[in-house]
Amino acid sequence: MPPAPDKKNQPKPDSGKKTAKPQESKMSPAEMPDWLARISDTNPAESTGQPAADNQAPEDGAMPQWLQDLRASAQESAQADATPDSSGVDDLGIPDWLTSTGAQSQVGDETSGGDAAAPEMPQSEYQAQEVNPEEQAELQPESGEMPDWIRAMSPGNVSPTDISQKPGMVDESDTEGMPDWMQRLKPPDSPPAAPATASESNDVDWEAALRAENEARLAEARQHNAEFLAELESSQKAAELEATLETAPESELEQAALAEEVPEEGTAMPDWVRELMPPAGIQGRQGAGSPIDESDRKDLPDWLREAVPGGSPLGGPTLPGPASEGESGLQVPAWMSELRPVADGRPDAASRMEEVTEGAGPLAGVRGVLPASPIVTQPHMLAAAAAVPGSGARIFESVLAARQEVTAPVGVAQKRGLLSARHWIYLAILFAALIPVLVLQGDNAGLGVIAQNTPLTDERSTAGFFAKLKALSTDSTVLMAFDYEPGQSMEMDPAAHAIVGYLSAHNVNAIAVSTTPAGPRMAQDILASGTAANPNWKQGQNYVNAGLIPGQEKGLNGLSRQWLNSTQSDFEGNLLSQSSLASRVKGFNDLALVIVLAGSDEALRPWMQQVQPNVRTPFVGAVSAAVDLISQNDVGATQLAATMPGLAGTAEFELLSGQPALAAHLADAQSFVQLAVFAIIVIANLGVLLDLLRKRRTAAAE
Amino acid sequence: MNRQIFPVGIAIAVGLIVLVSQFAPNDIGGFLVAAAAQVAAFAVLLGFFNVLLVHTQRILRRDKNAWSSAVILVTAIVVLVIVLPSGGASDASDWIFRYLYRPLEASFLALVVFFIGTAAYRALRVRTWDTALLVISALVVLVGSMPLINLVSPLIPVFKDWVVQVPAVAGIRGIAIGVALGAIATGLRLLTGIDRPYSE
Repeated sequence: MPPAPDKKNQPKPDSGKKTAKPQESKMSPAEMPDWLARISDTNPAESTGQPAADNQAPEDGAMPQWLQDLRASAQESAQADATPDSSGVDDLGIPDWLTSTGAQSQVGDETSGGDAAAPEMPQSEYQAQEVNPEEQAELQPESGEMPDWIRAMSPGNVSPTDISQKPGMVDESDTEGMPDWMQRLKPPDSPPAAPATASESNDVDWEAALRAENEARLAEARQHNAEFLAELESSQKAAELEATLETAPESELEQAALAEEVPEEGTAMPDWVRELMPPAGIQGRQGAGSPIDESDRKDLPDWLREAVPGGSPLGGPTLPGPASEGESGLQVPAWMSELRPVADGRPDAASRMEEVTEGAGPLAGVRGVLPASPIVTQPHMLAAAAAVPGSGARIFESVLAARQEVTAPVGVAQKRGLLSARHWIYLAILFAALIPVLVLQGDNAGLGVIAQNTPLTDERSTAGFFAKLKALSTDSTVLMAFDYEPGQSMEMDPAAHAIVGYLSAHNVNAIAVSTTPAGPRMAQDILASGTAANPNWKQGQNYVNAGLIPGQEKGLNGLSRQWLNSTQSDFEGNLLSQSSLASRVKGFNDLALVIVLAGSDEALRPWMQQVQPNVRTPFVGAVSAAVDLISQNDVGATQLAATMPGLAGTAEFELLSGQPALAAHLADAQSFVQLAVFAIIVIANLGVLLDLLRKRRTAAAE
Repeated sequence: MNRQIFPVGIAIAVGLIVLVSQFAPNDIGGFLVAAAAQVAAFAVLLGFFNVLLVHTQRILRRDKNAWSSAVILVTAIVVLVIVLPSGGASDASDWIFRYLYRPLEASFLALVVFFIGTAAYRALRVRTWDTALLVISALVVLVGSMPLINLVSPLIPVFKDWVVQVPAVAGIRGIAIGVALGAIATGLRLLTGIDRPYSE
């Protein structure tokens, strides 16, 4: 039972009122309406771009609802006024205009619903299309009156291109044998097919012929595609693909580039071609399709010039844009559609920043990598530097992101009063250094200075150092190396004075050298102080300032092997050959002792490495307190027989040698400053301890 | 590659000759060492002219600290004019060294004690067991090095000497062995031409 007719769309009976346009019923090629004229357009390349809809012939018994309603209304109107010419409906319930349309046979069937641009005629218009029997008779066309465009649609006159580009010409039954990708080429949202007419049975013959012809054409096209793809498959690299594309005939390239022949992913496309396609996880390439130079365009084949912006000089197949794509119903794969040029031919800044990011493989996470297949059409674009994910980078980022405990500067965090903790520290050190000067005078100097003859330091420290000098015989010669900087003179000069004073007092000869530029000057002053203390200890006779030994390690190594050159001058410009002392000493074997006054490890090390291993003369060191720790390594290795460390050691040496306590005053000041630093460290740790206890109490209270 | 064959060959040959001269002394090795010392002396001269050039350019560019560059240039030229004719033994050069250069450098070095005091206040704080060992060792060596502590207890200097000569020397020797191995490796790389600092 047919459903109840819709009152709104129900055709209203209209007696004798003919609103139909007779001139449209008598359609000639010249007077053909636009929508029908589009159907006649057999060249899709020259069409307006309106998509062709499917010509889906309704199956038997699948009459549309609107047609059933139309039939019911016609029957009702026939019963109402019994006017045959006013009903417009035959016995079968088919309107006259449909019958006349069906009479147009071959073409009408395929064109009635074949154009998507055909206006969807409402039922009210169908109702108005009532014609007279005379006019209906005129609508029966003879074979000789068939228009040319209809005859052009007959089998044998349809080109393969027309078949492939006009999917509406393919029946639904034919699509069963089609591959999936070809079925998808049909418009997805095509308008409902036109109702089948009574002339459908008359069209079986020519449809069968047309269908057979289409099958043949399609088979030919498939064969052509298969050959082309096989040719592509033979080349395993993208570069070979590019060369193949450039050398291939233009006709083949045009056919291969046609949208209808683009194979769907995963169907006819070879595996290696699918591998070249961007993976699904890859971001869209908004930057693709950026313009290239005209010079570069000349190097591209014709069909590739269409994939880049800048017009189509040769008029090759153009990939549809987004708007036309939906209208035409051509389902171009996404990766192919991304190749199309952008509207203005230039990507915007945002798309330039969002290039392809590799999702897998060795370049995972790297942005801006061009896939192999579209690289032939895409100019490379520079991308912003992207962080490459890696373990090292992650660790570095985690370190940077970690919250760091910032140690507040002393003067900022604890600046509560006029003086900060830093200022108190400075004042404490200053007063500690001034206490001996202000309080301790004369015999009170040198608090606690004694010869530290402990089991560990008996032979290695100041006592051992003094023992080595005490063992020197009169008129023996020692080599003194003044290797300290003027800034260290406050610590090292007292040691040098004490040693020179002892040597001069015991008439021990000395030859002074230095590897630092300022050393000879300081050595000259100190040696001269020995002469001032002992006038019999004279320059040239008892001591010689040989001056600078250039070349550091190299110079000392040469000194250990070749000794001093006799043509070399001393500090005052006198030749060493003119000195009686220098003339007597020919090498290290003539020396009784080597005394190295080193203010730093860099000064002591060359002597231990370049000289001491090459000679048999014993070495002792008068070193600064900072070098004392490091020099114990040489003492333990017996390279140094003993050391006299810092001011404390010098004060001990003075005490042992019975000389004036020059270093004792400085040692007192140094002792008090060290005590002040000790107090500072203790106070700081007490503060830390109190803070810890306070936090624990707070935590316990909470 | 061909451009580097010549310098690499010279470097390898000189290095091998000097190395052999360490075990079998010869005149060629001594000559090469002396030549190296002369080259180093010329490097000092080159450095002096480089200082003059750099600071002259700064003055000509009217940099922000051009006045300090002017002071450096004036000082260098004056000292050079005074010291060069007399060879460094004149009274003028002796006065400059004794009353300008040495006090200035000694004063600059004396400021270190204030930085040491603040650094000790900030760094030597017991927060963990490791820092406790560090702080205790520092205090023992600091206190044991001052003669004044002998008036309190003579055992503290003994303990200080043990810390210095046993655990500290053990650490120093470990570092020294590592440095020596690194020096051997560096020497071998130079002798085999792997490292070419002279051509880079």
